[in-house]
Amino acid sequence: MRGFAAVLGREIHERRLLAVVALALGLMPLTLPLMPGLLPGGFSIQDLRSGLAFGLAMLLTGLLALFLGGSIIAADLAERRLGFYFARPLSGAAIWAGKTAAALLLVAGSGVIVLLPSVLLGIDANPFDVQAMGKSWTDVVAIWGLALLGLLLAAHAASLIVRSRSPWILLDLAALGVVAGLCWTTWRRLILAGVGAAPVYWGWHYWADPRQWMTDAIFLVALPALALAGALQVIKGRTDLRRGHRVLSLSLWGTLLAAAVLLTGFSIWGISGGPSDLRRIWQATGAPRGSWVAVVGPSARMPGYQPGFLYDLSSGRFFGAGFGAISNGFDPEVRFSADGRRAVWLAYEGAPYRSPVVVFRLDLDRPGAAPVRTQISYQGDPRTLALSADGRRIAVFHGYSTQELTVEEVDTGRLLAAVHPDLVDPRLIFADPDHLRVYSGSFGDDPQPAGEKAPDIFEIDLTSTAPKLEPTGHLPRLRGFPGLALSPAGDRALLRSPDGLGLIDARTGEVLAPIGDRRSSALFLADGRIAALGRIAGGRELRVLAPDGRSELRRFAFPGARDVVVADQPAPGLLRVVVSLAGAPSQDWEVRLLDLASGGSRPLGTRKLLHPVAVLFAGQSGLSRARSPRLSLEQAGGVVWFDVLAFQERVVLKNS
Amino acid sequence: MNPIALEGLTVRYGQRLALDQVSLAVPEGAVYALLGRNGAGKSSLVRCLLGEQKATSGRALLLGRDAWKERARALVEVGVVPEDPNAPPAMTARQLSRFCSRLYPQWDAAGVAARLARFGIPGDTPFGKLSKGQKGQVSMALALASSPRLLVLDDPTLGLDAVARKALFEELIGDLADRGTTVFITTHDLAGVERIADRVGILREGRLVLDEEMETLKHRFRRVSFPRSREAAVARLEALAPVAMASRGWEVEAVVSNYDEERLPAADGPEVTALTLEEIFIALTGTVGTTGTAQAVEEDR
Repeated sequence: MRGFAAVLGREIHERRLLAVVALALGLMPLTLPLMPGLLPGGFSIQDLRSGLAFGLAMLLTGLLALFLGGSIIAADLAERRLGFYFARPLSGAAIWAGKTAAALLLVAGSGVIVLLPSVLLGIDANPFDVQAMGKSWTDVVAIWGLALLGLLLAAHAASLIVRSRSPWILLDLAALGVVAGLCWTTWRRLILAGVGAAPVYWGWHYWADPRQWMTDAIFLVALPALALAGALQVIKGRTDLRRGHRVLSLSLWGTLLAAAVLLTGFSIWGISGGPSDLRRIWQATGAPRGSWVAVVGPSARMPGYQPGFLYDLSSGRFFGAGFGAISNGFDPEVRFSADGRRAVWLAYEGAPYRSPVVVFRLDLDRPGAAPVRTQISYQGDPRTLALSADGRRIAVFHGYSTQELTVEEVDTGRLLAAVHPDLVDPRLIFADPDHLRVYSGSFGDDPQPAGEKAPDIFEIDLTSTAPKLEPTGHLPRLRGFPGLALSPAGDRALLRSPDGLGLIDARTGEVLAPIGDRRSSALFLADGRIAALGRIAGGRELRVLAPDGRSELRRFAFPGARDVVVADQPAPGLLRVVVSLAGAPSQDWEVRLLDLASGGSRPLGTRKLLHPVAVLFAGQSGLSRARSPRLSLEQAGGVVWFDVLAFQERVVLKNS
Repeated sequence: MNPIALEGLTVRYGQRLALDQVSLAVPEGAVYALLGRNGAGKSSLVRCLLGEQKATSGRALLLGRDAWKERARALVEVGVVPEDPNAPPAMTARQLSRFCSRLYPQWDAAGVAARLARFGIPGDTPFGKLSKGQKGQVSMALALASSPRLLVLDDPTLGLDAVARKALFEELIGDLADRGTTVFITTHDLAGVERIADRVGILREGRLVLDEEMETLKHRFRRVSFPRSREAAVARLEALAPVAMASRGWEVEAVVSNYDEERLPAADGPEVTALTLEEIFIALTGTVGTTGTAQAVEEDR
């Protein structure tokens, strides 16, 4: 410690004139603005003084860090003056630490001296308003201090390498190239995988961009590596410049190469996981038939990575599909054909937001099939998409400034329609493969004010020679985010909102019949009839309505029921429901078979079910047709496979 | 415990061998002069001895401590006068003394001032502005101020004029007389060191070709000359291990490394003269082959 203090004191004493230089610079902000013609237009004297003080402090400290870093040890070594220290009872560590600490103190002290006159005279030396940038002064000082330390240590290493004039400089350049190359390829790998493209929280930290955390990681490794290499160079290399260079190079590049290799390995491992590596499953969509699902969630392996997978629940096969990076937060940007045999999705071709969005398809029923990049791509960010029931046509609304709605053939990429509509938050759905319907309007929690335009309904007829967007009607004025479910024929829709549940003409928006209140739910049966669930005193009821929604065909009462869920329709005249009874454990569900023709209700027994969930309903929220009746996303558990025929369920993907 | 012990010290720079298995010991209180031509390996040896350089193999012990591993601790009791005075140029002699005083358990600041006064060096002149001789004298004053057990001087007279050399050696002799410090000195000033050294080592191309008491050395080496006609005498010279031999007119002149009066009868009419250290050094490192010198070391051991 005595040696460290002696070296520190001597080095500072030798460069004490720096304080005078810093003071002279510190007086400049007070005097310079008084000179005529030096005040830029639009600036006050205070602005100029403040900016000058801050700028000069930054400039001086940066330059000093470079200069002192490059000279305080390396110059002594090159000019054979370091032997003076080594001929004394001073350890190499004390020499390195004393000199480095002296350089840091000189840099920091000079910065303080530059700012001091302005601060003492009450001039705000904070022209950039760091608080407004979301940083505290402590943050700024810590970041700038670390940056100066990094600059100082890097300057020392570079200076020593250059001054030694040893052939090892070739190794340094090669190692620098390898480290830089590994970092760049890692960064590129992460960017292309979409890491950081979607917002993912990791503990308390918001990982927005791999560039940010990679820079942090590189800095956090490089700083101690540089410090260690610098220290070892003095401790082991002592007065031998070339030996010092070798020690520094071996230590520095050894550490950085190891870190770069680890980072590379981590990046490869981090983005190569499967669905079981998802920390949570935020979104899941099942194919209407079959066992394929699309899942999206934050990876447990890689912070900031939100991958998307197409996953066959029965076989365990999966494909990383790239729609995770493009996910809009509600549904994966993937659609299945009605027969569940094709999946189509959107993914960035390269770096998110900077490369075109491409349509991919996967024929799920073909053994060994792999994702196929189609000919369809979009320059602007896609905002919503729809796939025809046969899986052959895709409609995408894309672009923010140049809004465009295009319809293309998935297999050939042929453009069927392209319009530039002025749409607000549009939702797309194919009424049939030849007709695309568009619902456009602003929806909010508040009731729409009188006079504001009701949401529009448009349609594009793809059989016409020049397809265009034709207005066909308006949706009723609604409050909140509506759930809209099309009937199997696409002519009617169940519209659900906080105001209630109703049946409308899907093309014109005309209200055909009210179905229930805001707590009711309903779904279309395969033949177009409607099953509506509602509350009655002391229980629940299920009404079977005619396709027009007006005439009630059958009513089933479930007295004492806490909840009733329609499970499936095993035959046209039969409906299977599960009933949760008040007072019974919440996991106990009674299964009943309802005969729609006779009105009979037969118990099939009781099952324990985690969550016979809402996705069983078509039209619970959002805009949809039928979805897989076999999939549930349970927040606590994960993706639950619900086998209707066996009436059993199991968790197939857990939230980790 | 010998203040200095080198054990098989080897230093290699790439393909070049700077020191080859050098072993020597300097006993307490001795003045050891290490001689060698430029490039013989003296500086490498001193750097290893002071722990500034790691030997390729072997080790150097300084006051019983490994010079590489325990350099800082060992140097507490060592004064060093480097070959090239290397103090920071902006520091004055007084500042240097104050700086060094913080590093040693005992420091004779008054002694430094007195020596500087004796040398006529102003205490407030920056080191960089002193002449080379003055720098050496400041280094010497600093080296002696901690009352070291061991003094290592690496060619301290290099570039000094005769007056400065004399002053430096006088200072050294004075200190030796006062405290009996062990001294290890490398120098090209053979006349100067001859007066104070009591043991001599000679390095040649990295190998220690001689390591011997000064007195023995000077007794062993003689210049012998006699008329060329005495063929029997010339033949007998072989027994005296000649390291150099030359014909000069009608005479044969040889430097022998194993002089023995009894083996060279007076009947041969030899003229025998003693050699200075410089003459011995030149005979050993100038023209003679390796065999003779190696033999000299072997015989000495």
